[in-house]
Amino acid sequence: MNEIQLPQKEKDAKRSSFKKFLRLLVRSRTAMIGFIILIFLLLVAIFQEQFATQDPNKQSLRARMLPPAWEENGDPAYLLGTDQLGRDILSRMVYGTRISLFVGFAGVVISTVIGTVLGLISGYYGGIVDSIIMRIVDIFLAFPFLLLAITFVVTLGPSLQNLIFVLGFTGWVSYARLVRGQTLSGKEQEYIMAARALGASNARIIFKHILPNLLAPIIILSSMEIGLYIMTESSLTFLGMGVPSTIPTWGNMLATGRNYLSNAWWLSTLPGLCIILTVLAFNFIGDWLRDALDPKSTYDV
Amino acid sequence: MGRYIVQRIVQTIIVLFVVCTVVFLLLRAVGDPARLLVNPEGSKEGIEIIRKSLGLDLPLWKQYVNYIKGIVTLDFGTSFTYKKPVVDLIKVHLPSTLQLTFFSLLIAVVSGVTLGCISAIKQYSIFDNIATFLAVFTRAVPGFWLGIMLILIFSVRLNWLPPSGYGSFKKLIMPSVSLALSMAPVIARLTRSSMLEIIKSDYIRTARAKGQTERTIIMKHALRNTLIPVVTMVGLQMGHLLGGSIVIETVFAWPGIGRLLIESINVYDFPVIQTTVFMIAVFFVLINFFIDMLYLLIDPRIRLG
Amino acid sequence: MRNKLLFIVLLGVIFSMTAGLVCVTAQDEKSEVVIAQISDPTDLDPQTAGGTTGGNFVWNIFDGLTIISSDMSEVYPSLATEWEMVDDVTWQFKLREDVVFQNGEKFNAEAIKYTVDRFTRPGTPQEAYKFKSLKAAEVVDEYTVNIITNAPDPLLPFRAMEIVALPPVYTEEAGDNFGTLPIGTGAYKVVENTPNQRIVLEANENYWGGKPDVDRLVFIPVPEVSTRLAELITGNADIILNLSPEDFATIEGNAGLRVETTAGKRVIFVGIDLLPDGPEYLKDVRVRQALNYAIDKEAIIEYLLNGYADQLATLYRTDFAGYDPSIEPYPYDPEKALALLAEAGIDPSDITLKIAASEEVVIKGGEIGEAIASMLQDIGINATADVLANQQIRDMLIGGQEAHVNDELWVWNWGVREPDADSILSGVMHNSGLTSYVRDDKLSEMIDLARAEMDSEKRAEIHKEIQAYLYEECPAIFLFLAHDIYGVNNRVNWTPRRDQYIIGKEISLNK
Repeated sequence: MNEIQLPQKEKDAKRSSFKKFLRLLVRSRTAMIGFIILIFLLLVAIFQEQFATQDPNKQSLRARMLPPAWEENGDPAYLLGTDQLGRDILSRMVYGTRISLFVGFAGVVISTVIGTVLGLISGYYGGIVDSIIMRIVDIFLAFPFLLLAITFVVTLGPSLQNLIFVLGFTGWVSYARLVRGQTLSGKEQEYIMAARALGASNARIIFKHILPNLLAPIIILSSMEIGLYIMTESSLTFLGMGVPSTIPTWGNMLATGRNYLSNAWWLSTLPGLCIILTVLAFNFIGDWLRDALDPKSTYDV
Repeated sequence: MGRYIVQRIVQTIIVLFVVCTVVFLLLRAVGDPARLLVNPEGSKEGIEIIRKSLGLDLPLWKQYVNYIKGIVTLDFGTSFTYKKPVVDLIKVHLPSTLQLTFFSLLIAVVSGVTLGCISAIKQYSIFDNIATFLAVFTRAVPGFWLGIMLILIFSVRLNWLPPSGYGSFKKLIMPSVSLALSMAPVIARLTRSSMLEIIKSDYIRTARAKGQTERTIIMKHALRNTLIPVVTMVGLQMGHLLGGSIVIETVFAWPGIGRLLIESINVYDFPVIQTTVFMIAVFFVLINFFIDMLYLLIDPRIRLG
Repeated sequence: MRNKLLFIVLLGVIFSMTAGLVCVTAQDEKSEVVIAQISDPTDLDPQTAGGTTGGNFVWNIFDGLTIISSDMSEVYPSLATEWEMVDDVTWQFKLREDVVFQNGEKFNAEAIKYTVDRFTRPGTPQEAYKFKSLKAAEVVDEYTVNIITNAPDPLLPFRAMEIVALPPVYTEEAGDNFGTLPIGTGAYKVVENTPNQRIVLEANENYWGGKPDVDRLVFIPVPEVSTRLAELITGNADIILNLSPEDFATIEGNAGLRVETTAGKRVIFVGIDLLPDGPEYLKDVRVRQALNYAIDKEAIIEYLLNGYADQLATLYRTDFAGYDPSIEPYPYDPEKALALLAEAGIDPSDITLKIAASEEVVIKGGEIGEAIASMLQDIGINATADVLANQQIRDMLIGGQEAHVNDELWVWNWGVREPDADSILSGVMHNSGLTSYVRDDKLSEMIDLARAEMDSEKRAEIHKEIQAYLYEECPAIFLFLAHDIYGVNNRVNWTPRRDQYIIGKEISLNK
């Protein structure tokens, strides 16, 4: 899917890595699409007041479940129609952008931090610490994710912070495994052995030598996970454990609109499209990052 | 080898023990089952009576000791709501979940590996692009939405398949497809990248140089090595699959463990929740143990250290 | 070689897992009606099975001493042929003599005595059950039994529907298993009970009321409304429960399907936290009246429920004893609401209200909660909807007065089977009610008085007073009576009952 070709790889290698990324970006059509979508979404999230045509929480029972403007009975004031309480879908989708992206980002950040720290410790120190941490990982893997999420939400109460906490706290496992694996192979590298022989402290080795090499795989994994988190939020709402419906999120709209799928498709299909686009964008970027950051794959072709 | 297995077993027991304890504590923080069981027309004394009859009036440590004792003696207690041994309930719900899980695993692995291989061999072709897009699409669509869509199309519109229920092959198709669709793209992506890596490796080059046909190379050499990370992935994804089955079983009214779990959560039926989670954990641990053994079969080079 | 072997083993495992599925269920000549509800009851023991999903089975498998009419206005004989009041606390029932249990046990006064004893034995959860007035039963002769109540209970004939005869020998033998495969005197017997899959009832050939028309009733639990609807449209289910008004168009667009509706038994209202340590501003009656004025009930009924609800002035249904038609519901008047708040000297922005609601408690509960929050915001109150799962809202409210962690308001419902307000008033307005957050001695006194009054005229008078008091004091936001909506296949001849129970002998098939 990537249109990357590197006829002048020798030359490329000499350029600064930043320029190389840019070149790769311009050459990868899908990555461009991904970035355009992402930038658009960020703009919407930042300037949500300008994009929204209505107050997203303004109800109007009389204008309930109006179809999009281009359909029969549509009202131009509600471009993409209204939901089950007569709220403007377009505006809710616009306001949902910031929240949904935030849920994805914040959840991934929490996961990354927990996962990276534990994975580093586990991989670097090994031995009993490693065993303990890996067994904790096993516990989390053996525990059905949704059940964990449900019990957390039931215990803590449904709110945005709790949701992010739940996503972050349950999703760190894949990071821990990834980081541990990379650290394990990394610490056996000759230059790290050399650094250690020269008397470098553990902290110095971790922060100077190991961590920088972890950045690429972590960023790649994160780009893929963000979309998954946004989607998981929807599944939780489906099970009645999501964020309060007063907070417009895509997942929330998708889940609560599903009961009206057969007579008002726009309620859940439109926010669903937003999720698909976002996940698509992040995946495109993730694929491109893999090609760009992972030295092995640039030697392809 | 023997030592490795013993070590694994000890670690597994510790993991299961912690899972049990965490579930126990989480549930006690969740709420009071007696309040859900009492009839709203009843009285406060009624709540106390129910609490007593369920053994929830005992101090926490005592409840915990009883619970652990039960697990050790394989007595998982009696359901608060069904008033019958939890084991009986699990027995009723387990076969349907296993069918669903295995069948969707079959669909996911076969379609995922096939798609992934073709994508890798024909890298950057139209087919590869379409496969990538489909993979992302199915990853982005929540299972329940996909399930409802399948019902609307294949049951309501076309009237090909029954919308829900359990007991015939036709009824199995839609739930397992929707469950598989969340996993197949992950497998496809993994197969693709791992196949790409292998195709470029030295021994494949050697094989090529020896003049073997492309077909033999792929089928005989590349595929086998490609499967190693795929098998690992499948093991890790089992948890997700079981989690996903909670949603899918709800949409398709599939009488499996996921339904039992969610129905029990809805009434705080502690013994059922505790045992179900315990069983899922055991299942998961066994699968991963099984996968480790599979490694030995697929790749004789891997020796356990 | 090795991986081929592995492959074959794996395939073998997978196919053996799925092979059991490819079996065709035997078709027979028996007529069958499939009913899809949200969930199935975990327990079929009539003395513990709560809620409507349980009720769908109780009066198919068992019979009560009496049965109420489909519109809940009258009591008909069932296992009892006639009854009379002996004194204030004693009712005498004459029993049918031609009844046997499905396992051949004989039905007589002893069976009723056994049933009542089991109901009232101390120290069991049954004590928590709703039949609080039931005290004991006395055998007078083989087919005559006296039912004794704790206090005068004018509604006993209605409540005697709840006294369903259990076979003494089998019940004792079965123990806890009785709830799985119960045996009664009813028109249907349980032949299969697979949790979360299906419960199958078959016609009782020897039923004292004659064999019912439909040979087999199959109840399947289908939680998702879209899936339930699909089951009806594809013809797999004949009756589906808990539809929302939007699905009307979908059903009526299909030839061969119809929608059945009936005024239900559930009174929907918004409870208010009036506990002594609750929020101060809610203790001002003007604030509570303002809340009633601020909510556009008509809009909720017309738009959210497509008209399938009847507005109520208080908690009284029109069929309740002593219903006073002269009391008009609070109109929607935000100006008046603001004026009342101003009169009380309270700035609406100082009021913060969280409204707990659940889809599973009230039809469209979440949407109603959000609509109410939005209407309260319109007059400047800081209102937010708190949409919860069923278990969360129940855990919060039922018996939660001591913990007192509940929201200030909650959308709640109360189903009443008798044509009398006693049940709802005792439950949510009396000081001792399990979900009552009202502490009003005068109101409790009036409720007690009405409950014990055996003279129906005098009781009606007391109920009129209570209504006027409720209307004036507003210990709740009064909403409406919800309608029940069913999707039905035209091959089935059936109209819904107001008490929401699906009783198999009332179903017939169009030939």
